[in-house]
Amino acid sequence: MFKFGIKRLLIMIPVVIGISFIIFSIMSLTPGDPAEMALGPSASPEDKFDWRERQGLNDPFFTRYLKYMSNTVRGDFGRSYRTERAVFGEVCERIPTTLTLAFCATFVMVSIGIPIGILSAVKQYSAIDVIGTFGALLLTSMPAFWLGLMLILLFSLRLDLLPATGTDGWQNYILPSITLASAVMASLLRMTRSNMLEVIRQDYIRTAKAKGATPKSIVFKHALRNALLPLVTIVGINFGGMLGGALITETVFAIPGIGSLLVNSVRQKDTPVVMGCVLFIAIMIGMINLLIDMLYVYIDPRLKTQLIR
Amino acid sequence: MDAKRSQYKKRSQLKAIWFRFRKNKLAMVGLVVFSLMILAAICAPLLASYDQDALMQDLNNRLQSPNRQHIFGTDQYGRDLFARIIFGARISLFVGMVTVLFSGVFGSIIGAVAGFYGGKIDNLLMRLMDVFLAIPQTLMAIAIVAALGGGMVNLLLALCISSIPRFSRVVRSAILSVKGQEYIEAARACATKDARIIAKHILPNAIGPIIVQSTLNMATTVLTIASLSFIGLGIRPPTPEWGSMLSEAKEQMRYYPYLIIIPGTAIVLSVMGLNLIGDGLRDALDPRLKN
Repeated sequence: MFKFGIKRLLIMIPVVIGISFIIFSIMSLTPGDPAEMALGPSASPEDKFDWRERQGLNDPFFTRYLKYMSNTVRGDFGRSYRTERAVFGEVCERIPTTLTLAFCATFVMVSIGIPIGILSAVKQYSAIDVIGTFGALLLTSMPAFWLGLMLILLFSLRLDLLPATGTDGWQNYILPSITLASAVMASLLRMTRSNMLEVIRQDYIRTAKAKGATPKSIVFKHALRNALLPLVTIVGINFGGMLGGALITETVFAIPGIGSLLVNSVRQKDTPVVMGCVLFIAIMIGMINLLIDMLYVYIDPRLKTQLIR
Repeated sequence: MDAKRSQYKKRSQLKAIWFRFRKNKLAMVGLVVFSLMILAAICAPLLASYDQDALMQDLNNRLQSPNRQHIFGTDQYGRDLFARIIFGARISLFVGMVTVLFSGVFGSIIGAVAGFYGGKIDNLLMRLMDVFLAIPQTLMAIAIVAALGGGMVNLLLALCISSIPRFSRVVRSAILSVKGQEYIEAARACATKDARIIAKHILPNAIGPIIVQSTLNMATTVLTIASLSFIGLGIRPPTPEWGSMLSEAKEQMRYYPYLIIIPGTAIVLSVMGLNLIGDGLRDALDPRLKN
C-alpha cells in the first residue's frame, strides 16, 4: 500500500512538469507584452526594456523556464508582475475560500445527487424517476454561470433572501455552491441511477429477496454498497473539476478565490500568478486522484491483492 | 453485384439504427429542437437583418419588453433581441461544429495510431494526452484564448486543442475493442497497408462511439463558448453571441430579467437538444448498453 502511494506520487512528477511546461509556453510564446500590461501603454520602450530585464524576460525561453522551475522546486514561485507581491502568499491567501466553496459544492452534490439517484433506480419509471432524470438533463445542459445569474435573480434580487456577492458569511456560500455543484450533480445522479439499476438485477439481490430480507435492507445493505464503489471515483474526479469550474462561478459571484485570481491574472498576462494557480490546481487534482485510489482499496478489499504485488 | 450488395447491407444497418433512434421519444424531441435551431441559424438573414436589427443601436427603443414588434424585446442599446438570438445561433453552432470536426479528425488520428500500434507509441501519446487532460478544459481554453487574444479563430483553436485529448481517448478505446477481431487479421494476412486497415476496416467499425462523442462534445463546446464569452475571453461584443449577450445584460437583470432569461434559454435548448441526440444515438448504436 505504501509502495503503491509512493509510486503514484512519482508518476505525478512528470505530469506536473508537463503541465507547467505547456502553460509556461502558452503564456510566454504568444503575443502580448507583460511589460506593457504592468507599466501601462504610455511607458517608454526603454522603461519597458528595463522592466523586462529586471524580471528576467529578456533571456531565451528555455533559460527562463529552467530558472522558473528551479526556483519553484525551492519554494519560490516568483512575484506578481502586477502587485509585486510573492505569488505563494497571494495564492495561499485564496486557497481557503476556494476549498471551502469546493467542499460545500461537493456536499450539495453528494447529498442531493446520490439519494435522488437511488430513489429513481429503486422506483424506476415513477414520478420521481422522471423528474430526477429530466432535472439531471436540464442541469447538464445549463451553463453554470447562467444558473448562477438565475439564482441571483430569484433569491437575491426578487426574494431578497440570500446575498449575491462576496464572502462575508455562510449565507454567501449557498448560491455559489449550488451553481458549482449543478453540472456535476447531474452526472452523479445519472451514474448512481444506472449503477443501482445494474446492481439490482444481480443474482445476489434476488437471493436476498428470496431469503426474505426487507426491501430496506436489500437497498442499503446489498445493493447500495456495491453500487457506491464507482461513485467514489466520480465524486473525486469532480472535486478536481470543481477547482477548474470555480473559475466561472467565482467570477459570477465575485468571490475572491483561486479561480477569480486566475481569470484576472490571465487577462493581465501575469505569468507568475497564472503559473502558481495552475500548478496548485494540478497538484490538488493529482493528490485527490491518489487519495481516491487509496480509498478504493479500503472500500473494495479485492483490489488489495492486485496492488500489493 | 458486390458493390450493390454491400450498399444494401449498409443501408439496412443505418435503417436499423434510425428505427431504434426513432422509437426513443426524448431523442426525437432533441432532434426536433436542434433541427429548429439549425433552421433558425440558416434562415437568420431571411428573418432579420444583421446590420440593422442585430448590430445597429437604436436608443429610442431601448429596453422594450417583449411585444408584437420585437417578440423578444430589445436590449439596452435598442437592438432587437430576437435578431441577436438567431444570429448568435449561427456563431455558437458554427464554432461548435468546426471544433468537433477538427478535434474529431485530429483526435481520431492520434487515438487510432495509439490504439493500433500499441506499445511505446501508445504509451507516449497517451501520457501526453493525460497531461492535457489533467488541465481542466475551461482552464486550458482560457489560457490559450488569453495568450492569443480573443476572437473567433483563436477561440476555435483553444476549443479544438482542449477537446482533442477526449476524442483520442474515445477513439483509442473504440479501436482497441475492434483491433483483435478476425477480419483485421484477415486484412493483415492480405498484406493490406496499416493506414488502409485503420481507415477502411477499423474506423468504420469503431465509428459509433466517435459519433456519440462528437454530439456530446459539441454540446459541451457550445457551453464553453458561452462561458468564455461571458467572462470576456471569447467572442467580443457587439457581435451577437449568447454568452457575451448575457454578460452585457448582467447589469440590467434586476429590472429587465428577460434580457438574461431569453439568451440563457437559447443555450439550454440547443445544448439539451444535442445531449438528447447523443444519448439517443448511443442507445440506438449499441442497444446492449441501454438500461
